[in-house]
Amino acid sequence: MSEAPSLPERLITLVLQAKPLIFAFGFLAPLIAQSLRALNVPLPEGLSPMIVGLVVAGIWGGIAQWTGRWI
Amino acid sequence: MDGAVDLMEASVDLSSRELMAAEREIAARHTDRFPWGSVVWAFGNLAIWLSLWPLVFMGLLPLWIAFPIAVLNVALSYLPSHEAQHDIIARPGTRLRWLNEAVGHLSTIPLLLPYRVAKLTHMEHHKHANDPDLDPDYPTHADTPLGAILASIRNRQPGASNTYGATLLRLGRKDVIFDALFYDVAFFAILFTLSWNGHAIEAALLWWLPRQIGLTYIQYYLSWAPHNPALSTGRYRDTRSFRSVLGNIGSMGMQYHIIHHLHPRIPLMRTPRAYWEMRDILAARGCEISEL
Repeated sequence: MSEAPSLPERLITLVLQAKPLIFAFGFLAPLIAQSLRALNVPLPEGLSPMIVGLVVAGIWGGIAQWTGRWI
Repeated sequence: MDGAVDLMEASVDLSSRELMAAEREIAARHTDRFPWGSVVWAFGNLAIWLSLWPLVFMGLLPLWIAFPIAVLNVALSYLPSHEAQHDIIARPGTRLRWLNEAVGHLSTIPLLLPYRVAKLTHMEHHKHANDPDLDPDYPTHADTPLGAILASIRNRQPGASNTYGATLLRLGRKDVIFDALFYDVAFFAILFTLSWNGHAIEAALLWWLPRQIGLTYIQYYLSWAPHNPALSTGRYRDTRSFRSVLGNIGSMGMQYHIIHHLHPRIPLMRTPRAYWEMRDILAARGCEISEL
């Protein structure tokens, strides 16, 4: 019988399972926002690049989290 | 011409034992030579990659120039560590062992590949090359070059199976898995800190994207091309020589990777010479060497 995983191991597993979402909000969201600014992409009134970044990264990260694939 | 060459010319008629003796004699001429080139390559490559960061942040180097340099740096970061994994720079217990280990640990920082993970899984690759169950590099195999590139990308998706982790678990080396976790956490911490402080594009073009491109290139030339079609196992069957459209330098010396699998302690830069000296023996052994 295999040994039950320790608490740190369970925590690490939990974090690893959420890696796509962590990556999306930690890196993709600011990357998208800064890219929109750098490219001067026109956005609708009141919509900031960061909001767009968070929404796009959140959806993309959610899909990656769900399907196990970014592309 | 010396006796060894005469032996090679008659290699088709030699017994297995005589072929092995001739092969070993050639291999011995190329092993235990200090690979200065790889040591300079390791530290030079890392220094250039590290220097890109301040140069870009201080506005001394445009990002569009730094990006392709970073791609090259990451693509070039694996092979010096590979020399260290095989103790080619210095064997355990020798005076320069620290240098071997320093190269092993430091050169793959841009690639985010911990030395102990690389070494243990690579030794398993050598032991079990082309075995679908035991070769940790087996998932890179594909029927076509494009398929190999797609397989490399597919293997990096979040849901892909982690054969390196599985190999380390099989070896009972959970401790080494923590090396990989540490690298992952450190990378995310650096990437996120840079990104949320207004440097996401720099982080993407100096590290994240170069690493994706570099990994694809490395897996194509180091894992796929020399082992394709990956249908056979065994000393003279699991690796082939091949002709790369990018030439020997463009394929990082992997055209002669068959020599590395037969005699892993021959330094990378000596494998072409060893190959041409050994080629008749390889032919007599039935190796796949038709392209080169």
